[in-house]
Amino acid sequence: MINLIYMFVFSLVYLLLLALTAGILTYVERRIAGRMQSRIGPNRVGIQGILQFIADLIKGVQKEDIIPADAYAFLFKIAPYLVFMGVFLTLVPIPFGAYTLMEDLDVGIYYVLAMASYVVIGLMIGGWASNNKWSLLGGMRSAAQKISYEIPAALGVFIVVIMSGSMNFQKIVAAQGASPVDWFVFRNPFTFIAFNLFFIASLAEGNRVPFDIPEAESELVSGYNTEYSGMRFLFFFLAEWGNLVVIGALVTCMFFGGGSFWYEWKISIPAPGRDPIVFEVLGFLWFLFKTFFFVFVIIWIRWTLPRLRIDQLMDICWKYMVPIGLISSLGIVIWMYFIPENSTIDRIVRLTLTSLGAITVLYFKYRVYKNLKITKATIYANPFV
Amino acid sequence: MNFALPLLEKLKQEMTSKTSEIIQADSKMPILKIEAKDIREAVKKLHDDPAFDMKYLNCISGLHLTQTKEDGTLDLLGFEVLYVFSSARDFSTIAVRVDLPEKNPAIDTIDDLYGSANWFEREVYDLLGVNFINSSDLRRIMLPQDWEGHPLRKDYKEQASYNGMPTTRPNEMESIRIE
Amino acid sequence: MSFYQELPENILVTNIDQLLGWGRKHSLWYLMFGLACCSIELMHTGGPRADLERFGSAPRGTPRQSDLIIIAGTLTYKMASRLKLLYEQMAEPRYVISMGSCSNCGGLFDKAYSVVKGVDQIIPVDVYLPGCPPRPEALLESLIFLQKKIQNEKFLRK
Repeated sequence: MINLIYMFVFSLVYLLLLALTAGILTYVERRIAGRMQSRIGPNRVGIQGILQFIADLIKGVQKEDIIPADAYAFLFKIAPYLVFMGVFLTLVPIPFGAYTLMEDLDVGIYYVLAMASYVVIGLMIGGWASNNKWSLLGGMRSAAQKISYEIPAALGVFIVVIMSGSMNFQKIVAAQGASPVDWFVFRNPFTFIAFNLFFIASLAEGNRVPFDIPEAESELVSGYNTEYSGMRFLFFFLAEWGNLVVIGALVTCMFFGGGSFWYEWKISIPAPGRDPIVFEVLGFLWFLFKTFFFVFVIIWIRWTLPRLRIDQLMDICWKYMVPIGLISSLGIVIWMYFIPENSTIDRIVRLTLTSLGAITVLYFKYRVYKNLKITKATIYANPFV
Repeated sequence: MNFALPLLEKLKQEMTSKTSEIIQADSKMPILKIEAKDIREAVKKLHDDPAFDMKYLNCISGLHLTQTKEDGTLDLLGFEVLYVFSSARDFSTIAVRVDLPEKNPAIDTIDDLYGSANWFEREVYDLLGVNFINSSDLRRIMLPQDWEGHPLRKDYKEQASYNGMPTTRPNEMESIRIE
Repeated sequence: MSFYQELPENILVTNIDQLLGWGRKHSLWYLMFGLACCSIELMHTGGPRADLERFGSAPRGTPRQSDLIIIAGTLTYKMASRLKLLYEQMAEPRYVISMGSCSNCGGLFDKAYSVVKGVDQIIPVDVYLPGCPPRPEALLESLIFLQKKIQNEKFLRK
């Protein structure tokens, strides 16, 4: 009984946190989009417009709840909740810290993949029940896209599972370390490919640009959510931005060492009685920092790249990503058989990849500052205008 | 050098009916004026005969001819339909003109020869009411299908309302005019 | 005075009304709907110089999700039925800005046979914006004007 109450309370807290985070992310995205287009973005309500999502929410509640006369009313009504639920359920096994997680599932990654494809049912139902050709096309497109991109994502996950020897998120995080040399992304070339596969496939599964063809405004009016108004539409909206957090958290867990803060994580797993509260909080913050960095990268990609066509989308998946994924999953097995962990070659490869990554980041920073100097655009360096 | 005039004279020679005449002969675009019943023969020659090689139909334009009388009323003189063709060979442009009567203007379609003619014919039909006989698809192209009248006719009277929308708006300034 | 008579001016109702108005006025999502040259100015208003999104107005592709329709340009009789359909598809509460002389009264095309002499003959208009076409600053001002109007609306106290 007490367990049930705990579960209820925790899921309520998670739900509110996810909704709040998604809401703030809509504001953040609009601000970032504004800066990327030399605009300002919402800045009228609250300090720097931070209350923008609350204004959107209040307006959404007041809007008329239109259910088209020819729509299948029951399915039309539940579709947004199904989508939101699918996104929310993927949060369950993600470890925000050594103890800050809802349920330590042994099949964590498997569960996340299953729940991520559960979202597609909601989108399909919403698209079909609207009785609108644009909605139906959007729903069909999203189904085709999500089911196709499950495979590259699963292959990326597969490589991680082979490396760590477990599907449990805690063990995957523990198999990595705090320093970049220990992260899976720089561990060996195949895990680096796995990271790229998984990240690109996640973008496609989250309907983000450049893979946002299910809601392409220039082709379909607004895709599967064309007929939705008011609060029901906001649920789609929140699900999309909640999904960003999920993608960022998954990438952080699987490739970027999760919340490993120095070496405390490895110590805390076998001895839970050690009470590392300070390290828990620091690890949680470190995890959130990484997560939101990837959220920023996804937003950045959205406002940089144009949209793909549906045939290009399918080409990228089936002709490039799936073969590359299959070859790398074969490669990782051979790699692990011939090159044991912490052997000399392993260490050299790790260091090389890490320094390549560091050089890329530093060169990017150098280019950005050089461009800012050339254009004398001091205003663009200041996020608050 | 005007490439078009020799072509037009050749066309005039080859027509079976000898009533055609060339007008604006010294301009860049000479016009051959023919009878309405000869239009298909002339256009077929222009399209098929390699001597002309007019593969491109520039436009079909229509005109409602009028003359203002002494007392200010209009004298309606009928319609004029002008077909302009171009050749990709030497970029010569020639025109064929047909005069139609005021009552029930009708002419044979040429949209089986030139695919693009269909939209031009629809436009002339839409705005002037010239009927193109045997056209594959003669509907209004720009105005709504339930529109009454053909607005570019000089004797066109605007309807008081269309589908419940009044076509006039009272001038607000009239109410405050000081006599 | 009974409770129900006094309810419309109740302090609680008034404050909630103001909160609701605050939400509505700062989240006016507009429909991407351009008819003629005014729509170019509408696009400019969404651009960097006069950023409509500062006021929380984002463009939406579908009438179901938009609160504001900006009639930007000359409205013909053929388009009038489509405009009416779009307006009816929008969810309440919905607002209309009539942008430019053509949509206000027919403007330049006052004597034309195919142009509607003012969109207010078809749908109710909240703000008329003169100009041919109006500058982006003028559209911004009309949006601020509309925001003031929304703030003073009595949504609960009808």
